Amino acid sequence: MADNVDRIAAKLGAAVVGHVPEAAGGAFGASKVLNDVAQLRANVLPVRVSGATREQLERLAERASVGGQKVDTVEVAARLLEEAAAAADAAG
Amino acid sequence: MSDLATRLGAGKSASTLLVLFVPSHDRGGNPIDQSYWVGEALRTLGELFGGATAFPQGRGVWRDDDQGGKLHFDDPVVIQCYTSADVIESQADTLREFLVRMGTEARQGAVGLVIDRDYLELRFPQDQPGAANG
Repeated sequence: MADNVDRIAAKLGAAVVGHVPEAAGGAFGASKVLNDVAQLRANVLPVRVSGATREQLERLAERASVGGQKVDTVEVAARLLEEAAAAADAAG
Repeated sequence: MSDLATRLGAGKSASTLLVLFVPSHDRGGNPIDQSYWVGEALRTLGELFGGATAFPQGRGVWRDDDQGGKLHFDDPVVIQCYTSADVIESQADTLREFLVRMGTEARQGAVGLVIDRDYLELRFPQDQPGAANG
């Protein structure tokens, strides 16, 4: 990935939504990147998080994906939120 | 590799692939003048980065969270452009002007682009016409 993508995103007023497999040029690459982005968007968190948090969630999801079962970032975020909400509730 | 590039007279400066998606419909599901926006995108990327290529329509879907997760099916044109990340950063203001114009005038919920392995979106909240925030 580009080293300065966060700076580019800030200047564009854009959010880095996530990573896709390395895009290739040409008609095949165009078709593939369209599919890769569609898959990525299907797993997009419905709330905005910082780039660092997103990367943390991606690492946790990768760590939790064992035994052929894929865990995505939305599931990790939902689990953490449930635990945090339960803890906050218990703390009164 | 650099020897081969030297022998071919080629440079490695334009090694970042920028991909831009030009939509076919607005967020209300109404068709837009896609060929106009493809032309405008090619002109912008040509001026900023020296060239770009548009590929025939694909079929895509986009979830609009501002409309309760409503799915928008779309036939986007994919435009590719080889440049460098440094040039994208230096031309970001002008590129943003175009992306905001397309997002606003073509009534999009978001405009998407890929830079190497990162997918970026400029979002246009429904209640804030003309806004683009990450």
